[in-house]
Amino acid sequence: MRLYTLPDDINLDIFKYLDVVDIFRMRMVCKHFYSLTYLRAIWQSAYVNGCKYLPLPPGPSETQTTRDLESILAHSMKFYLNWTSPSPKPIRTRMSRLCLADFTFAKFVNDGRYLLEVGDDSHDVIVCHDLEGEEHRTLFRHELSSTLVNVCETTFHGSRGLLTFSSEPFCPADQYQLRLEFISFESAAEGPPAAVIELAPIESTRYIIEVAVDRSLVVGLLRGGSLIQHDIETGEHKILREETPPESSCTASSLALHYPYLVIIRHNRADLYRIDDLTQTRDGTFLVPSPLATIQHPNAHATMTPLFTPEGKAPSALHLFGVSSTVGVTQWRLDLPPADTPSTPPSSCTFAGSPSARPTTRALRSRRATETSKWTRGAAVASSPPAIQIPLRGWCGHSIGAMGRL
Amino acid sequence: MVNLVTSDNESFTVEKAVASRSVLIKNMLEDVGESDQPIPLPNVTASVLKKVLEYCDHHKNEPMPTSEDLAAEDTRKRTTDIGEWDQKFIQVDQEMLFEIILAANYLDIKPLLDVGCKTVANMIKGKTPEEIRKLFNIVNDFTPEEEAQIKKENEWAEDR
Repeated sequence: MRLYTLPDDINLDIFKYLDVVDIFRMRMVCKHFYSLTYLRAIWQSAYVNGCKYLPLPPGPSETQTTRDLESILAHSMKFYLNWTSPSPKPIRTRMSRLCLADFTFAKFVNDGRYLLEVGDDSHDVIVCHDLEGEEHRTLFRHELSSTLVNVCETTFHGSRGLLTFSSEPFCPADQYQLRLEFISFESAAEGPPAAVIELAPIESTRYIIEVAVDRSLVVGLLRGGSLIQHDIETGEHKILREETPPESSCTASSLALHYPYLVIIRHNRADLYRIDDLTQTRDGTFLVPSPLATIQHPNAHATMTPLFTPEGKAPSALHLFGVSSTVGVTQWRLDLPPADTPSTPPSSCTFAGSPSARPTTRALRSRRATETSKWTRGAAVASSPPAIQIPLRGWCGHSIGAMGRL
Repeated sequence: MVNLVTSDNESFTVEKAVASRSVLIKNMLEDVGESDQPIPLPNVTASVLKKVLEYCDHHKNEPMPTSEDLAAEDTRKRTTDIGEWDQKFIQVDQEMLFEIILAANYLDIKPLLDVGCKTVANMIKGKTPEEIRKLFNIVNDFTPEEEAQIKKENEWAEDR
């Protein structure tokens, strides 16, 4: 009795327990197994299995042929193996003729189609480049009358675009104001954007260092550590104060918001909160509770992007990128609980590799990667999740936002 | 008690609960009703049946997989984890392993079939095509041209 003399249906049962790579290796063993690896049942179950750890589109479905399933799995597996290997190689590098010499920060928006170049010497100009096609044209250039605090991508009144936040550099104490402008992508054309909507300003008694936005909700970080929550549609306004700042905390430097989650980024850590938990009233103030999860990283300076989240749906996973000149690029993925189970903390924290669909940055051209970093959930120390780091050479930018797409 | 007769004419007398782990025997008993007639198992030898009955005896008090379990099979995510006792049980030579798989298939003992298939899958996992051939004594029957072509197409999977 030999393996290849077992009936085919039993061999199929065995194949159903194999990983994608093992199935391809069985194909190379002998003619008999070669022919077995072309059966639909094998790829169908490999697909179901693969969904556990591979970046796969929904499936398997009736409309997908066996060949489709096989090639999606092979593509996905190659992608996964590359990104989790000690030395990931860029799948595609696009050289751009854009001159991005003096920008203060750059950001990918609109699913990575547009690249924003912000500021030269001062924070007062936004240039939007369209990366579609071979000729990277400049979509628009927008000059601000005051100093830019941040620019975020959002949907406002059903239109996708940019929300810019700027403030007057010299204001009387206790009278800070944040000017808001919305630029729709649809109306954008070369030259000055056709439609810039000026929204009612946000007023505060403290300087607003940083803002994050998701749909109509704006969260601002005030000097001294408090947060401001503002709804641009309704004008509703709240101040949130941190009751017990996390140990060894430094002043928060950055925010990322994807409703219902808020990430506050400090010097070397990123804390995850549920935004609705921030509004527990005690003595008329709003308190910030202990974080749902924390990422610790030397020199964390992260931008957060949702992964595979269709428009308008709550995110199932958050992506965090940390970039620094000493450590390089670090990427984490945090799986979140479904939106209808509000009290449970994030279900797990796993890494799923997904290099930027447009690795135009110098960052992704760098080579070596190591696994480090530590997660803590509440007070308990969770097992170290694999995070990936790519050291950088000659990089002095501040942050990178990228969208994981296959 | 149930009386089972193997292909090499050896007879085994076992508890009904043990024999009924086999869906094939269970259905036969239900069809025939109470009877002292021995049940012939023409596809199973004594040495294999002895091993299979050892498995059935150990698992006799566990619930049988329901038809819903079996229907959910294809949509469920598969793991190759095997219980501690089962792992020890299945530590046999290849010949016996394949005989047990065949017997489990014939006798319709799904959990045992799964243990056997998982064990074989675990033996295959992580091995190169050459290592797989060596382990299972398989002859490479590709022509050099065919082999070169297949290697080229699957290069990425081979080097891992």
